[in-house]
Amino acid sequence: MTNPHDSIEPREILASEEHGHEHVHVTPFWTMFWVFAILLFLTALTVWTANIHYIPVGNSVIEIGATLHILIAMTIATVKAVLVAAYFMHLKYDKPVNTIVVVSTIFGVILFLGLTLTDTISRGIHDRREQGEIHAGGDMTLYSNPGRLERMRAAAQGGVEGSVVQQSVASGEAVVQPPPADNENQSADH
Amino acid sequence: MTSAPKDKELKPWEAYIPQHHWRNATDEAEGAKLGMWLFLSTEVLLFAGFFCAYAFFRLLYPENWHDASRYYLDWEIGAANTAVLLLSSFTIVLAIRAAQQGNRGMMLIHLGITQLCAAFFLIVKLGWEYWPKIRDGKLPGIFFDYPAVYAQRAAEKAMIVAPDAIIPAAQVAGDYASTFTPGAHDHIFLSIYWISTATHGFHVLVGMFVIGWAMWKAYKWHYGPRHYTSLENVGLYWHIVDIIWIFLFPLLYLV
Amino acid sequence: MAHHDVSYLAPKETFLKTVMSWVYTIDHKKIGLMYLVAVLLMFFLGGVAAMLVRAQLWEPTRTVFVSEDGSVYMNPAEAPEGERDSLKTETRGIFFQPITTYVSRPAVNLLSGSTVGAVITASQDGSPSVSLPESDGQTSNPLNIALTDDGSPIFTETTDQRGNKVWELRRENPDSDEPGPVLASITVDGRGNPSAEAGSGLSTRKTTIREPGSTITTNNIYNRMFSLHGTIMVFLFIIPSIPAALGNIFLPIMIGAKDVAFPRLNLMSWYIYVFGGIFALYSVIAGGVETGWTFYTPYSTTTDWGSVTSMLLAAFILGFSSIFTGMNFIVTVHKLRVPGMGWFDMPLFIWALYATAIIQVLATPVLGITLMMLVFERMFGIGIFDPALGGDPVLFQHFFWFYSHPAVYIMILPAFGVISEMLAVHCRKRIFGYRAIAFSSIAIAAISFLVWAHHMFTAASPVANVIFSALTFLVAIPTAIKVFNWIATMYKGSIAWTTPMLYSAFFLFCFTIGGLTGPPLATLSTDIHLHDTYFVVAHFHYVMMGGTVLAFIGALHHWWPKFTGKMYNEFWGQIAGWTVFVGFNVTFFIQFFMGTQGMPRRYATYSPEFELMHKISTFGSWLLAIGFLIHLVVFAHSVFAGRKAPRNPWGGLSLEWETESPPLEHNFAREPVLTHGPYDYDTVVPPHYDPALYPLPERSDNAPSHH
Ligand code: HEM
Ligand SMILES: [Cu+2]
Repeated sequence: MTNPHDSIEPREILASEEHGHEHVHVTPFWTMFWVFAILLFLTALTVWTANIHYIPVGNSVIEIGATLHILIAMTIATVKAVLVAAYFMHLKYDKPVNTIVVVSTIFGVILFLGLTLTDTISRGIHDRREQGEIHAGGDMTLYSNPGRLERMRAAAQGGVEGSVVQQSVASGEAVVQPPPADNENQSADH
Repeated sequence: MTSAPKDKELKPWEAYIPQHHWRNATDEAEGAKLGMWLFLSTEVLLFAGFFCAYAFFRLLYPENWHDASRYYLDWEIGAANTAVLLLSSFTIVLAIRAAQQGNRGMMLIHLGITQLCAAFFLIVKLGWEYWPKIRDGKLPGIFFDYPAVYAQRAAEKAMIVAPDAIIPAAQVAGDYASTFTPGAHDHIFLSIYWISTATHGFHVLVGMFVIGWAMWKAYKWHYGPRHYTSLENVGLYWHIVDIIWIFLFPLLYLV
Repeated sequence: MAHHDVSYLAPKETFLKTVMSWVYTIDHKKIGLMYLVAVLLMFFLGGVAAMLVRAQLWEPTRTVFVSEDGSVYMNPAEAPEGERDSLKTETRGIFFQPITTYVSRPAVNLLSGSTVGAVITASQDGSPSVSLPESDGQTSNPLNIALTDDGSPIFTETTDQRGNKVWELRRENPDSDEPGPVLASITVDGRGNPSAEAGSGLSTRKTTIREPGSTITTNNIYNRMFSLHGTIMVFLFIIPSIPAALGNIFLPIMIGAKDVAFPRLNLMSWYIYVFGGIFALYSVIAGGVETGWTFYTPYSTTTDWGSVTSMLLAAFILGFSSIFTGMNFIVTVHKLRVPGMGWFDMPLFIWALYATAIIQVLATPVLGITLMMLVFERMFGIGIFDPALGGDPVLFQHFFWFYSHPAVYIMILPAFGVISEMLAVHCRKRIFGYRAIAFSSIAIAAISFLVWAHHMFTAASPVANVIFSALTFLVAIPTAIKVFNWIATMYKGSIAWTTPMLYSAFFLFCFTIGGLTGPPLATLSTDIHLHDTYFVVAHFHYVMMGGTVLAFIGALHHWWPKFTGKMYNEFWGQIAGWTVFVGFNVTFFIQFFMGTQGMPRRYATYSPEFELMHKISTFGSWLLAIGFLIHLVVFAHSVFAGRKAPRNPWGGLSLEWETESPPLEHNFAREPVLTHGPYDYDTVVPPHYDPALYPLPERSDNAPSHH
């Protein structure tokens, strides 16, 4: 068993005379200029693609829906961001450690959005909404249910204690149910 | 350093010595840059909160979201501001280039242009976006009042057109009103619009301060080929402000 | 240079300069020490709140019957016959009683002779009311004030030149229908203060009337108390405890640096902490919060009690302090290691701090934006988390736990680090599985971002639950790797039973229990039952208190001689240690059973079958408090009368033991030269240590001899 530390020798102290950091890389003007030009072009492209809704192919058309629009816009934005990061922000010329920081950040963002939205999607809210089971945004919306708060308040004040305020989906009206007669009754429902 | 000429002949960037706990200036510059990148990473994650909220509600209310972006926001303004921010990013890169070449004049000019771009961005934001929105009640959450404002406009319009009596006033009002149907969740869209763009705008404002500070240091000869770390970091900060806008713009104004 | 040879604690020429040398310091050790004092203070505050919470739970709260004169009966039958009908019920805790706030109103007594004939008070709307004295339950009217049929005084209302309302009170006039002579006139000024001008034969005296205002219930006080405990312990104590206090002092020294990478940022982080702390304390004084440390919506957005907004801002501000510390540590580790120290030559404490810093940088901003959105929600009603506006409260839970699960690793990873140090030093043995421990820290940091929704199993969707449950089990792997390696390190070591070693052993015991109760919570089917019960409370106290706090106290003893330059009393240190250990287990072990039997957390009262268990738990909390108080005395004694500490009291090998105790201003007289690794106990005799005292472990035959 050898001891990994036996081999350690103090590294030579770096030239301590040096008091300025010599830059290997002076930013090239034209590279940066072209990056800038491409960025402007991509901005225009984003705006342009966002306004295309149909692409004619032969006799038929391909429809570009909202999802596709988002994908296109986000892809272009990502390309732009990578250009800015790599050239303007010098990542391409820097030590890799900065890139590692960026990559872990993106990893964090993707996890955050990805896993949160996994939950959202699988909650099935929109499926049920599409089938008309619930109002847009659940049954808790002020705008789609203007009187909801008032009805609840009224029920809370005037209703019998323990009564259940329910929202009839079809009519949008509040239905105040009397309190259950006893516990057996209630559990029989379930 | 021992045989260096008298300090008075040296510009501050030439005479720069790293803080005592650093082994050399390269380490210090790289360390500062790494620190800045870590800070930028926190900025990105901060805005990730807005993006997450945006994506969440967009998933829940897709059409509403799409319509709201068309109704309430002007993509022309957003696009103009995007271009301006890109330009300012470019000029700050040129300022750093000027520092590397020891060209103080060009450095100041480019920083100045950057500063102007930032001011332009903020003025457009405040004067052409925020102010009309406040006036029209296109406000976040419970302050959202646009439908009422709209209905009133319709009525006023009808009053103006009505004397001609060619088209009945009620019809004018109706026609006008039918061009706008409020979505159930417009107020949340506007909430996200307001808090994300306001936070971004705040970063632009902070950017103007730090760029101003960098200009002052440039003016005082603190930046030159051998030392321009803080200018570089100001640049990095400014670029991240730009990158965040690159994402905010299409999400809010376009799709 | 002179300052290289001076202890960092040495006073300056004048008192003022000494004070300023702390206020404006950029020395990481001073900043760390200030952090240390502050977190200990917060630990004390949070601890007091915890004691009160436990005191409240000594017995269930009960319903009592209060008569009009304020006497309290446990049973209505105990009340005197006549009062039974007017009894009011009230909920009272054993410790917290409902608090009735009183409002005082100015009043004027009308005196007839030396007795009070009537009292005039201004009511809310400014008009005065008159109350007549009572005797034997009968209202008497000694001044013969004119009364209506139902007994209320008759006023005539006028206005004086200044616009004040003036009311005239008249004597009754039984002989005719004409109003009687003016008895007194009352003026009520704009602020509602009455003054009276009395008629002949009378005089007036100013007084005040106290009336009951709003009442805060026992339960509400209980809510505020556990929220106070939680927020203070999490945001002000445990998160900064090891990294910002001990980490600040020792990270640069242990890698042979003069300071952290950004000393001024470090100072800023400290002042931001102070600023955030002031916000938090303000919120406590201004009514406190009753949301718990988790600030769940929609309660936190709708409650208008107390000072939730300022508490949110406090946590927001404290987040920045944590972020800056993290950034600083990462850059320091990358750039300021002494020449020759590779990544795998670093002490494991540094690895742990590095992993912690990654989480601090990546997770804390999300907390910041979450709390900001909550503040906006409260102030502007933006509706993102508010279901009444179409928002979603579960989204808040995602946002919150995206930070707060990684945050529990901000709390525990540094503790893992100090345990690695303490075990190696006090067992005089090379740490077992160095790389495994180092990498598991990084693995924990990474995995900690994948598991947050295990706090939301009762709220999230089934699909998400399955994913998060599976990912949660992953985190137990690197954690277990550490525990096994620590135990292997102790195996055949020559253990010195010092207080830090004792605490390391306590840590292993308690943390293992805490860790092992994690998987039952990560299991969906069991968590549905255990969620929000005392089982969870016991789980996280076993990991956070039994883990982090015990490790923190151990580490305090371990490094105490180094950063104060004084030895502490070993005997009393161990007595205190045992008291804390026993007290801790008595307090919390029983809570696992309470939880499995269905005792919900955050309740001010409970059904009688839990009474014995709660009593045991509360009793344990007293032991705990006694233990901590003994520690306090031991430390105080050490500061004032402790022996001077040698450079290397325990025979450690990492770099901090090579500098003076306490360290010099720039840590080392000259940059240290690395000749051995931090755990080479099998080959190196520790420097600055009496070798005769040092029991070198037996070497295996093929071990190379050093030099
Ligand atoms: C060994 C791996 C661990 C696993 C599998 C685990 C699992 C869990 C789960 C599933 C919950 C949620 C229980 C519920 O609310 O129903 C929980 C709660 C908690 N855990 Fe752990 N845990 C582990 C280690 C830790 C560590 C090391 C810490 C901190 C030092 C910690 C601190 C907490 C806290 C503070 C809570 C409660 C938060 C609250 O609701 O207020 N856990 N744990
Ligand atoms: Cu967790």
